[in-house]
Amino acid sequence: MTFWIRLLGSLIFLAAIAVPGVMTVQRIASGQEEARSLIENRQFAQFSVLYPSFLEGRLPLRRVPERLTDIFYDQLTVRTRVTRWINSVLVNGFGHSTGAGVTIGEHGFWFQTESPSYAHLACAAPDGLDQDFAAEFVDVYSDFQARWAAQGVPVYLIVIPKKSSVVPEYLPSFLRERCEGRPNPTEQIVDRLRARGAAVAYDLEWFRDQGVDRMFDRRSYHWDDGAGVRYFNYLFSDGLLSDTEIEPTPIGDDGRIWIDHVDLANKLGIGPLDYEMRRPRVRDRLRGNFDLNEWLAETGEDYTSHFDRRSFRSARFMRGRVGTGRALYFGDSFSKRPDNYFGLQMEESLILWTRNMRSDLRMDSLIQDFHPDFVVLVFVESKVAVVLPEDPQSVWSAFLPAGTEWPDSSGD
Amino acid sequence: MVFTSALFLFAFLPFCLIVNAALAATKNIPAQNIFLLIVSLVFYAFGEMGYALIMICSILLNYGFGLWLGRGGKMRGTVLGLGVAANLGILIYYKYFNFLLVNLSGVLALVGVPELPSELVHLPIGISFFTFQSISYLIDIYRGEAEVQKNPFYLGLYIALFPQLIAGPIVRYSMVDAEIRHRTIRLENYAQGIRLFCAGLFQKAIIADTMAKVVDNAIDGVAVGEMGTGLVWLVVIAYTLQIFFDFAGYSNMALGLGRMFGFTFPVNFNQPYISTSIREFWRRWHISLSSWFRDYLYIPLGGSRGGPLMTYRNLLIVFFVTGLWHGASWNFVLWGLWHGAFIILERDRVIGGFLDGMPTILRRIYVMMVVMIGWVPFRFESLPDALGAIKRMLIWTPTPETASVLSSPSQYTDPWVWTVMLAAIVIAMISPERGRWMSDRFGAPGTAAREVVLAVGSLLLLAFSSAIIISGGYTAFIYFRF
Repeated sequence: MTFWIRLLGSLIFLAAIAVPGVMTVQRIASGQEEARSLIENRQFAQFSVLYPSFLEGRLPLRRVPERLTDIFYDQLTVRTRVTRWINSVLVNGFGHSTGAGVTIGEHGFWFQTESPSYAHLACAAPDGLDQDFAAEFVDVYSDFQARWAAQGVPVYLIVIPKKSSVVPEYLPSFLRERCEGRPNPTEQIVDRLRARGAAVAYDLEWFRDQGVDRMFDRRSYHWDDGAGVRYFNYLFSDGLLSDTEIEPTPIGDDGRIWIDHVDLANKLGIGPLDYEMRRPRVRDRLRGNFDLNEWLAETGEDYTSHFDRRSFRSARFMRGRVGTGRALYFGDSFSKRPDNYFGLQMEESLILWTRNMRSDLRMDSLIQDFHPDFVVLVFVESKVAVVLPEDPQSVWSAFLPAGTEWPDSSGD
Repeated sequence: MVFTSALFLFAFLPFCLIVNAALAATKNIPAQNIFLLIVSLVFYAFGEMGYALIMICSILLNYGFGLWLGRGGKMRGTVLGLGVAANLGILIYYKYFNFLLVNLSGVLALVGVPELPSELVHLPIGISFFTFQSISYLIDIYRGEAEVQKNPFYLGLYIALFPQLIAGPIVRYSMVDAEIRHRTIRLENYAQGIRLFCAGLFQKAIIADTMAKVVDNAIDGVAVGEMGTGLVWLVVIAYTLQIFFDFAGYSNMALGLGRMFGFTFPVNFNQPYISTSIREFWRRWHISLSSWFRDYLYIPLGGSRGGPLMTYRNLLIVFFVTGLWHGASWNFVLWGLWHGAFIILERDRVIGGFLDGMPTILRRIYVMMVVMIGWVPFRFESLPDALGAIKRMLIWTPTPETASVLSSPSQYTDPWVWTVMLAAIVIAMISPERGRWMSDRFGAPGTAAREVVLAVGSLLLLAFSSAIIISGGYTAFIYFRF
């Protein structure tokens, strides 16, 4: 009996370690490698990429083991399922963060904080705000806005509060204690911008009044699309953008359910998780909705000095059915559903994302080329309250006058 | 390649086990040995592609010296000296060259000599282990405790065999000489090997790596001056567990793999944290290294045969070298001498007698305090940091008012970390007798009930540890990365 138990145990052990490996090798050998992961948002290492580069001498022999290790790991057949299972146990059972930069809060709240630098949570960052950058940013942005106000083009800056600012009470205790009773760094910078005459919205109280669960899924980094519509309605009716002629979009006439992915679940390795959100239907059709390539082909204009051609597909040019003016809208991943307003209610709108911009983009020349009636900028607060920036100028250098560089605070 | 990588666990290891089992079925020892030598060199080359050549040179060098020693004659002592010097020369160049250069530069700077050019020499992994194994081969031949190995592939297998190549145990040639020439794989040993491997994998992947995150994040994120007593103790306790379970985990995996390939390697750790004296600690901690130094250094120096002063001198030399063996830094030397000093104190009749008269629990607390304070210079890289951390351990220091959030111990802990830490403490403090008693609850050795429990337990540990290893490399981005 003992013999058979030992034999069975040994065979199960061998099968447990051999089967995943055989399946993985078979996947690689049969050319069925996965090229990218939508959950992880990254490209996978592939043998079909490795060996040509090695044979052509582009990959030295000493690098091959490391690449083979990466390929085997990325192509391991059981990887995603096993990771989802074990990380679910760790996250949900033990409150243990399995994702880089994700902090598990209380009452089911997860936060993107970029721990341990806490670059997304300025109040808790070990070295605090980059004060030199904050001063330079206030100067650069205020000058930019004043330049265009003088030429009759108002510029509006909408700063989107992060979940950690809206509900700091759900941060883990060691972060909550750190942030409570300290001035909000974003509010401080916004106050300085306003003192210099800039039109800035940072509607933290409005977000809190809405109730966090109407704005965010507890497990998401980004706020949701339905909340975006509600917030823009507020901005156009009573908020910073009420001076424009754009009308709020009626809500409640539809309330369609949209399914979206919980982005932090992917970062924690327990995705994909879905959640439902309500988003009103866009009632009217656009007269035209083009990617930038199509628009450039139609108009014969050339915007390649502003944007890389490869990113044109995600930049939108829209023609609305009503409206007479032109709007330039520039935002990041926290800019939600601008087409409901700008696309529909302006004659022409150019909707652009920071991820598409060239590093040498200058907003001045873009505005001169597009000559909008007004400019709306929508950024998440961590782009304003910058902590330990790797390259903080990457966005804000675009607001410098042509031919100038970011002030050198190092004094070198 | 490391044991806790997916490539090793799911490709390299099953390939080696299956092919070796097939060769073993034919009872073809030369084929098994050559196969294991080839895969061992591949294993090493995966981690140190360029340095596999050094290992091959080391094998050929020791093969030559072994043959030379085997010829006998009056020159045997000289040949042994040359062989040991050659091995030590390789070790000193690759492991200590940078250290020597920095220190020499510092001394010369005192007399105004400009700084020496510092060409950094890369440290090939496992060099301390395979060099000591090579030396033991030569000494064992010289002493007549082992026969000369006339087959270079067999000697190569002894030096390069992958299970113990990276982190030991240090296997004496005389221990495996017979098994290299002839061995059989028995199912009982194979099942035992699986159990040891799974236990080691759990110790390394779950316990040591969880504790390592606590330690690394705290030490990388916070200056010692910003640490309060609570955080320093958390770091030291976590490191005490990390280093034991990391080292013991690797050793157990090596022992388990050895059994599966038909070898019997010596036990390297025997619950060191239950020791009641530092002398006992060194009989339980890294046993293959301490016995190596005892047999090849302490006893040749004279051991305890020359009176107390000579004994103390010999002990200090042994622990100085033991410290240096662990790393080319004065911190490791300090750690070695710290242990050496307590061993000398314990040999004193008064102090030793006093310790012997203390209750067991107090003696264990004494050992753990000595050991944990000793780990501080082992982990904190600079001496001022190490001394600052020890001061904070012993004198209550609150977290400074101005300290960042990273100084909060809660930053590094959550229910998972506490669970693993508690489990690790319990496992580390179970005596072998208590462990046997617990095993016996499942039935006498060899009974079916016990075998079932052990097999199921091992497979569960494998599943859990593998899952942690697999998820450990998971990297996701909010936005797409190429």
